[in-house]
Amino acid sequence: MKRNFLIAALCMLSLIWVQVVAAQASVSGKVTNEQGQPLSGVNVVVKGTSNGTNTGQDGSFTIPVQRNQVLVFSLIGHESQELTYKGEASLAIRMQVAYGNLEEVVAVGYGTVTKKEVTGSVVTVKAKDFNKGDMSNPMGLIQGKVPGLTITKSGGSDPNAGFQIQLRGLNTLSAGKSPLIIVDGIMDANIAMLDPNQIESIDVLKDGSAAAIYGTRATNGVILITTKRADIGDVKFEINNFVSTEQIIENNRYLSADEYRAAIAQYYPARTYLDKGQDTKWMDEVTRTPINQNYSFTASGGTRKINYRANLYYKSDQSILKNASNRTITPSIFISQTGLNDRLKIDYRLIYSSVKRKLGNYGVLGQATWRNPTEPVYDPTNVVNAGYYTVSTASGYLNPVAMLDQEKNERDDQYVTGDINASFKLLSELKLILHGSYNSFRSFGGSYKTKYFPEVGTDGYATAVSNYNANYLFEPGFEYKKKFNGHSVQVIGGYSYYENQNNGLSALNYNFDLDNFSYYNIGSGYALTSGLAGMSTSKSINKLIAFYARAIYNFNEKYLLSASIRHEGSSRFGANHKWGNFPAVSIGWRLNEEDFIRNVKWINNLKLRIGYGVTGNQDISNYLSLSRIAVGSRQFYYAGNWINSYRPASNPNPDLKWEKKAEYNAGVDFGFLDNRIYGSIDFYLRRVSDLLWSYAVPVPPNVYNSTYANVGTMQNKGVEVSLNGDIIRSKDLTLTTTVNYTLNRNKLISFSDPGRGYTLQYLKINPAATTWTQLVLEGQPLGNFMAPVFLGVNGSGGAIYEDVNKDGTINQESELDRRVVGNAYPKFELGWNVSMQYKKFDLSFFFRGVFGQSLLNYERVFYENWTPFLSGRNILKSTLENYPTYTGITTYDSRYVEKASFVKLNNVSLGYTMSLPKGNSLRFYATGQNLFTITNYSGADPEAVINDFNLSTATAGTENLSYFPFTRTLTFGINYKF
Amino acid sequence: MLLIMKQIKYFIVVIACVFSTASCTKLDEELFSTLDASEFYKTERECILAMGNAYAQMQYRGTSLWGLMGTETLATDEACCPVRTQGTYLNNNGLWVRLNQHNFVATMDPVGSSWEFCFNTISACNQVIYQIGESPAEFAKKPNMIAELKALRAFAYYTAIDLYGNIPVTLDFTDVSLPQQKTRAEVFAIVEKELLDNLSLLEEKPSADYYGRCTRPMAYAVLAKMYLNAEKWIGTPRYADAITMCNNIIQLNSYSLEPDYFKNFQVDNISSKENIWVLPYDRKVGWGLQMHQYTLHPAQASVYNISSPIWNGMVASPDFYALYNSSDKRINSWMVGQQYDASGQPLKTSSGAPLVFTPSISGFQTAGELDGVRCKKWQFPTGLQTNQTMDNDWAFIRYADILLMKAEAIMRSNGGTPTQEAVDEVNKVRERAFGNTSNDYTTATLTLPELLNERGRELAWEGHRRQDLIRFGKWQDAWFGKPVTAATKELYPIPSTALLANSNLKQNTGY
Repeated sequence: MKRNFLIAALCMLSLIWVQVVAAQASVSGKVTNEQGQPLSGVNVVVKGTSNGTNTGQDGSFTIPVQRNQVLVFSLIGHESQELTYKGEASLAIRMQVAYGNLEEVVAVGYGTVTKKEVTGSVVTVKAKDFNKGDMSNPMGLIQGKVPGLTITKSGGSDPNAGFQIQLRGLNTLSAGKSPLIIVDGIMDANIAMLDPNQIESIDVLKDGSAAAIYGTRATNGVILITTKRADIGDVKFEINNFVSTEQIIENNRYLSADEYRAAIAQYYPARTYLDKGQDTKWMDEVTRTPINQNYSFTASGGTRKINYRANLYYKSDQSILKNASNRTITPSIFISQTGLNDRLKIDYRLIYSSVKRKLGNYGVLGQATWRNPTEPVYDPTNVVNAGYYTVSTASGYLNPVAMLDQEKNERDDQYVTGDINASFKLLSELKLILHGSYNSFRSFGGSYKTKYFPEVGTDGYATAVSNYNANYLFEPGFEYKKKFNGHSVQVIGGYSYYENQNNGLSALNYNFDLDNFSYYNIGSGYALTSGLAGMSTSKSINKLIAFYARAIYNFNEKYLLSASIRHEGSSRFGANHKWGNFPAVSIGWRLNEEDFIRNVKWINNLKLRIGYGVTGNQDISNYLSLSRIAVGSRQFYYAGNWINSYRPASNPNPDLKWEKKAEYNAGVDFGFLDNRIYGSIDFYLRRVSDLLWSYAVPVPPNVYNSTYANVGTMQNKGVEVSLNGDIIRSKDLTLTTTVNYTLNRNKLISFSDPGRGYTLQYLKINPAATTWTQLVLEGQPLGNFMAPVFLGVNGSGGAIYEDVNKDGTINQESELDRRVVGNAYPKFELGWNVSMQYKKFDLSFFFRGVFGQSLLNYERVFYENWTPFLSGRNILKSTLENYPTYTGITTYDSRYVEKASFVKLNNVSLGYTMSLPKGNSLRFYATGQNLFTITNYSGADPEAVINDFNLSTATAGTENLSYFPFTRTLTFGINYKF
Repeated sequence: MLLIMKQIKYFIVVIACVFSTASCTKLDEELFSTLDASEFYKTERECILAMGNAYAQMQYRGTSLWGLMGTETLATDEACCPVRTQGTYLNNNGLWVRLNQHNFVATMDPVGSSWEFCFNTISACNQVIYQIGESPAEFAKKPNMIAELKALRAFAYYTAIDLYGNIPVTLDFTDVSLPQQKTRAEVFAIVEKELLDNLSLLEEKPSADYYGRCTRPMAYAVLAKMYLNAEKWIGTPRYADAITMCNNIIQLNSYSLEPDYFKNFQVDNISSKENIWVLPYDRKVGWGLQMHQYTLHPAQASVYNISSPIWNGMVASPDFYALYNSSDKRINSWMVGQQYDASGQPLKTSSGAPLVFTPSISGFQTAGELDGVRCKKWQFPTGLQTNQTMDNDWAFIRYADILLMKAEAIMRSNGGTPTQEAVDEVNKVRERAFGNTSNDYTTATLTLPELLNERGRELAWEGHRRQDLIRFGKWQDAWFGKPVTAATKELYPIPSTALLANSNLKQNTGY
């Protein structure tokens, strides 16, 4: 693979033309900031020509220019400056920070605009505002930073777990819930292995009018990641290294060995056999203090004609769980060149990534949680179980240390992303653009459980899995930009072809002679020769084809208009519904440009925005609309032999189409008091129709008892506020603060269509609990916990429940004897960030709060109960505190639905930057993450929950019983630019 | 500039080439790991492979506690899963207690899964019957194959009439309207006609090729079951027809009682001369019988080298076990007393107590770890691992049952008293059980209640008890763990999923 990478890189380099430019009379100069420090990377162009350069590390530049030509200086985050060249020998330019970021570049998909031109709801987070610390995934960089975007890491500290992302509430029941992530125009790019240091900014297209340009994939929002480009000038290097460690946030919710013994003595003195005499801290046996290391090295430089940025990223995350880890190596190279008198510009990018994962078994952590603390870890006399202490008669009660030692589960992933983006300036206003990318994922992995793995039941058990996934994107298009007489027009258009291919291969075998091979000699197991091994391969392809266009217009930067359309088809949908249209329109009015406000000194910026857009969600399995035949999982005894059975693969639905979302958004952007206070407020109303769900249908006439169909309608509405304050702007001290506020209200408007035979009035969700926990009802929000109302414990140890319908009997199963006792979704969310800079020190902290939600404390349902104790397991201490006399069955009721509002100190970071000669710098920093949480929730962590909505396994607001522990992270790092 | 114009030309040519390719706006899906349905059913072999799906629907649900073993066996006086105060036991949040006490609700897994046993089979039959009929392939056995599937469908409807009474009927795959619910009598007539109409096309006698498939004797047996229950189900006695159907099977001379009762249930029971209608199982391919998990105690895992979890669950109810005479060989269907490991050493529980199973159960909800005798009627295969089930083929209908049915039909058509012919048929079964004639019935000793007891002993846990108790009027009676229950419990509720999916369905009375 490495060799392939080298060859590919060489091929790219060989494509590069080197252009020789004739020298002209020129001027030199230096650009500094307000404090007089040199600014590098400032774009300097001669207005009306293609002549341009960038400042070097010391802020200096040289540019060919003639008298009376105008020089334009621009730099992200600064006010642009224009200067007419009068023949000075040298120039000294002092640039000012653009407060309120109105000149900031905002990515809007297939192009950029400045912030003041934006008419949709788009939030940009720049690198300097990213969350600090050790992130397993770049999505952690913007957790809590974007109002309306909820990012949760429910896997706890698992280095191989991703984040769950939800934008403006839940907008689908069964289709995919992930936003479309686009890295520099590359759709569905893999981001987990990207170096966070290479990310320039992350733009979130929130409302329908902004996202509709991405059509059938935009309902869950679009996240545009822009990576850093090359620095022009002498080669610059940057090193970013850090080391971090984690500590479990221990809250001792289970009985210690001594407490366990005391509980036996107090409550069950006859059951002394439950005390096995030892004192084992099971969680300590399976966890460790991990050392995580991150190294990033970047070289960047070149001329305006050809420049590059090369990066090598290495990450090694040990995990809190002893045998889990993640090791990532990502080299990447970006090359940009211009040719044909600056008419042609080509960007190349190649990213390769190798990720070695050791996957943790969540079951180990679950077993360690509820294991009897008086049991020993080892029992040397127990030879059959390799010396692990084992309780053989307790099914499903496994020694976590044995699980940890006797299993291997690993995966080797390789990601390759190649991308070419060429633009050709046909006329000064018209550019033709050709964009192509290839994005692939290959994985080989396997697992092996030795014969000593608890309850494995076979002489070793091996699996091997290989996957290949690749997508191709081809997008020719154009961009037309013209300004005349105060009118500004930007039109883009194009065609998009996207193809995704998936191949899989898996095998399982067991009954090996010895455990030495692990899964590396899978053919040697006897399950293969005795006909019990398994093997499977699969392949599928899906396509998306689209034509898109967008026009952005403004008059005097005062009246703004944006309109777009995407005509898109997906192969996944029924023959009658392959294609659809996704229009959007939005307008803006910059009141501060009007005379009646222009004179109001304290108003610097005031813009009203209104938008409407239609988006879709096509994230479902392939082939669901077709009438297909599959090989059945069961065989048939025919004429003395077992032969395959062939069956229809699903109930076909030729009317299958995408879920369609129409959204209205109204917002205001403002900047007051010299832009010391600025921000925006957005209101939205989004309605998703044709919701996909599996509806029960009669068998016969159907072959299967459910059909996947478009039926329901759901609504989300809400408010988002972002408020920023530049409190102090002095030379030595700056203080800025940001507050985010998010409110969302969800309602399921309809769920059935009796006319078409889809007659579902309600849905009782049973997340593998003892009974159903949530009721999904038309006209109600999702996530309503409906529970029997617990009133207390009766004399015989059972629960007393409220007779809600007053009929004299209590039927816990019936909704008539239950009440809504909470909702899994928050009422509102807050984020508060403060950043300070005092001379060479910088300090920032970020609080994140989520309020008003209720969670089902699943652990209490099962382990705040004597039943597991009596069968020899550990239980929650709260058993002794809350209802010690309760001896009833394990069941769900109102006791366990808890208010779970919380505030977390997400991170605190302190840094010290030394300015070195020649614009070099060296920064040291320390960051603490998750330092504390304030909550009344009694479970492990109010974020140890599913954010998702899933009928079969678990649903929003329900804890996982086995999870990676939640940890505090401490990071020390350096950043050296030279 | 000229150069640039040239470049533009190339650019346009490249773009034009790209767009002119046909795939530009084509969104047809290409299949790889599945087949386009319109390209299947083109050969005899493909029709056979499709037929397999109809038969495969019966696997697992046909013998699972969560399927027919729950609704047809556990809910009767033969068996129970008591709540044990110590050690592991099969609980499932009280499901088995509710099932045993006839607290049936429409959302119960066994109720839903038994429905699926019937209607998934019916739907698969409808689909395959239609597809084979439409298939361009010409082959001699085509009409026979269709008849065979119709017999299978009739068996599924027969099971559904028995469990749910008033059920929807669809026989035509192309009819996509919501099926209408029909009365028990209407469904009875349809199923009877389907079976009678297709008898001549069914394989006449058992053969190796037709093992596990629908044959003419299988159809006779299902008809005999229907006629025997007709008085109870639809109010019309059909005992003469039941006798005719039993005689049809007897006169074939293809079946006989195996001298060894247990040969019918052993791991390799394919050679049984007695099993008429069989659901073949194999741990490798046919997912099926989990008796080892239901009934054994975890300490017995080593005896059979079983490494899958064992649940210490299902046992014989004490009163049912008491029906056996100690010299009845069939009492060996049960494990009682001290249990031993493979080398003959006594087994112990995890707390060190001797593993001794007692027929008595100290309480339905307060049972001890070792209360209740366990079922070893189906020989346990050795070496069952996790996710493997027993290899023993499951007999829906055996020849012994035919003899007992014939006797019962004679008695019922004779005012409830036996003729000598009836006594002779029962004694054939009886003599095999005791190995001699000293326990034979006479016309004086063979009463209907005694015949029910004999059916219980002979057919224990084979899935006939519920139908028998209802036919003999005993279903509402109290028995171990169960109070007297209402007559409406003679039908199961129609599962809530089926009700939701079909607005034409009316729930059975009492639910």
